[in-house]
Amino acid sequence: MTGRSSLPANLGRRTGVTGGVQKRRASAKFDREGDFDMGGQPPTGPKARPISGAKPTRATRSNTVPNQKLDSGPAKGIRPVRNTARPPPGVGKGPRQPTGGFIEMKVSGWKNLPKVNDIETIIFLEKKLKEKLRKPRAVGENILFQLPLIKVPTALEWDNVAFAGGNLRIQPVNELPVSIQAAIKPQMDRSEQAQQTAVLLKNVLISRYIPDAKMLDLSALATHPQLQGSGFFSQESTRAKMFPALMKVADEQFTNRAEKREQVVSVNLANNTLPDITMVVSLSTTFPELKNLSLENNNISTFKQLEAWRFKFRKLEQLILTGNPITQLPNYREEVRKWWKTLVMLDNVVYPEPPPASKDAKGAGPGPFPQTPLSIKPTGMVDDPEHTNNFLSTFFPSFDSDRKGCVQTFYNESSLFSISVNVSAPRLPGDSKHSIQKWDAYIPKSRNMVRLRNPTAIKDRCAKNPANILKLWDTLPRTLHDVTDPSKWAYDSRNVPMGDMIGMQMTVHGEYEEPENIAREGVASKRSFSRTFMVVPNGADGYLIRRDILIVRAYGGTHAWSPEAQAQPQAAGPAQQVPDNNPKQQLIAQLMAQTSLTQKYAEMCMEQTGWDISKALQAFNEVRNSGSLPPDALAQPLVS
Amino acid sequence: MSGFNPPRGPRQPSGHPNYGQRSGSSFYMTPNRRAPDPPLHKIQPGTGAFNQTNQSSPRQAQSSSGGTSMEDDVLIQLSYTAAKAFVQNYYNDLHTSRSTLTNYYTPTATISWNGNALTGGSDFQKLYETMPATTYEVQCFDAQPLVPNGRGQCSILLATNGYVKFGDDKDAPSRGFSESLILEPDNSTPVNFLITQQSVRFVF
Repeated sequence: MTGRSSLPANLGRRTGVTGGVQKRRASAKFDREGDFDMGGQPPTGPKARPISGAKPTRATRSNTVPNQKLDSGPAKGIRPVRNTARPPPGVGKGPRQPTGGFIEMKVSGWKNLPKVNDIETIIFLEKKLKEKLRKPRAVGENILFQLPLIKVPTALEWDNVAFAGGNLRIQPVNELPVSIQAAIKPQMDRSEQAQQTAVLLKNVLISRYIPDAKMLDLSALATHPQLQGSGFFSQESTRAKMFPALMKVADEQFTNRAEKREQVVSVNLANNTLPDITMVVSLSTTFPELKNLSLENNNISTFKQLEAWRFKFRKLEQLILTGNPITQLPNYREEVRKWWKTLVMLDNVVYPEPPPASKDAKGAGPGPFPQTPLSIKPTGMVDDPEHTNNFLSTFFPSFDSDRKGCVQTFYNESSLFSISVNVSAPRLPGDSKHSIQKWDAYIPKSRNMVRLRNPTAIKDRCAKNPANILKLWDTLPRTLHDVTDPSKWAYDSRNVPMGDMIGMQMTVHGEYEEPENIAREGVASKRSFSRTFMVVPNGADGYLIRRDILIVRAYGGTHAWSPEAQAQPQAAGPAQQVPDNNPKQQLIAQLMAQTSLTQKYAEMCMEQTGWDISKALQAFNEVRNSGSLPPDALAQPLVS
Repeated sequence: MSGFNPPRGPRQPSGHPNYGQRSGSSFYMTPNRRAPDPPLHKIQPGTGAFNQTNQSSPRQAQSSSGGTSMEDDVLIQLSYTAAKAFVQNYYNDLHTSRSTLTNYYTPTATISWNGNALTGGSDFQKLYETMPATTYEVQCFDAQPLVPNGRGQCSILLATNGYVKFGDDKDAPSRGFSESLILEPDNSTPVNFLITQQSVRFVF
């Protein structure tokens, strides 16, 4: 495997020559991807795995099956009953010919797998082979069992099947009868050939990867010496399968999407005489974040022929279609830009209009806010800023770093906690970076009552007391909340009577990262959440959480409450007229924004509280809650 | 002038309720209303809440795996039933029946709408009467019981999340929202759950 050194780290991985593991994998993959038949014999045996038998009506097959039946002994249906009456001789007595229609088989490779025993292995095999194993028993490293002769070819297809982190070898104990060898031989050849193809395609990829440019040059593939030699281009049917297979092999070289994004920025498909993109369509699944793509000198003549990529390649910056009839269409450039809005350049000519700002950019959102009678204020209603800030800035770091300590500090025997997931919450368009859509860890605990109707589940998923809350937390992914950046948070905190105390109802909206996902997905993935707490004092400066409802959803950013999103025109909004160079005016504006006080009253309030915004807010809340706020103190009457 | 300062209801504690202060009253109820708690097996969850009939009865089963007792189980079931009925009706009425929105609130309900303070259902109704057309889709909600009121009902803490579409067009802009509410049972028969606290925020 020369040339590997010039590859990025992962393009050299999984060489496919480490034994039968790859062989089996490759075979299954090609079969699934569209009957990647290399001209070898089709699978034989009466019950070949369905995925191998995609085209069952070939002459070769109808020839093989009767032969095999003739050679392999009694017809189906007679053997089993007869033979079960007489137990087969035990093992370990030296070489032994199979009795009647049965072959003694052995399974190895399970013994050193940490998580499974012989029973589980047998159950697994029975499921795979769709056959109850006869006389299964563990002997040393092997599990021995008997298999009807006619089933042997099928069973051998599962040789090297992946299981519990390892691979199982499935082999006959003795040499197989000549008759059945004949039935199996083509099968083995076929997977050998598929494996060879995988290696071949990998070599093609390696030879066509240009590391400096991070480019995969797949131009003029028909002229590639190795591909030419392979006979891929000798007939249309194999030619059509070559590219999907090539993409599959390419896919296997990367462990995650970030690697692909980093290592393959450009793909060149020039000079492939493509009449449309049908043959190469899988490129968009393998490299969805491609930036540069050339289809130069192919035969694409209509937009219809590009349709399959219309909503793909959402990061495409450069496209080359020169040398295709499509370039002659009226409004060609405009149309292309409509399909791929991110394009900067087409056919090496820059678009005069820059593409719209990336949706990944900070502050991106689903467009401008609709006009509402009241403006969206970044700051929520906070009755008691001091306690609210204290609580939030101590609770979340504790929850992140030490859940056990957290549950002991903040919860008691009557505290309730539940979590629910909104898996279909709106997401930032094109935000594949943050918005992971894997919810497996959450779903089993989710108490989303839109979906959950079972009363038992509704009870069980509401955890009461520290021990049960911690038990639930232990099943949830670890979290990282950034309490140092206020822009990531929006919250209301209202004083409410709770029992004989005044407590706080806090409604907190924010985001967190799942550190483990950074390792797994290769990107810093985030989720958005809303969490409601009912909190009462606990001792002198502690907090007791009586109720805790957490709703998690896909990351949606902070634009919904960030100040720059509040660009909607304000009818006579006095806040907008305030010159912002004066610190006092700024404080007045801030108070107005948070309280809806008119400028006059806001100034009065600030004056009386010594220009301290938190004191002013407190005073405002006191006056408002006592009902003595003058009716003209508030701006923005709802109804004029 | 707007109704920002409706007359205080009898249940509003006089003066500013300071966090941590003893409130002197039981949970959302004036002391004189409090009656001895009935035996729990007599509690009928969701009785007539918003005229929703509910056939389910509280389970008398053993304690659930969440660690709650049978008493909790009944209240949890009750809070689910009431929350479900509330969500179905309220979010529908936000666009189809704006003139009756005030009926969902206690007169002194405290509301924070995207950082704006509103008081009582009348404020809220006025806001929605001037809002563009909205269609709400609640995609997620969760509810927990607060403290029983001694008459077989308890206040409920409800959290909702979903999106709201502004206008009827196919391409109308939409926004994600999250809310938390405290619902309090009233004195009527069948009982209604009224909003005493509401915090609304667009989150997307």
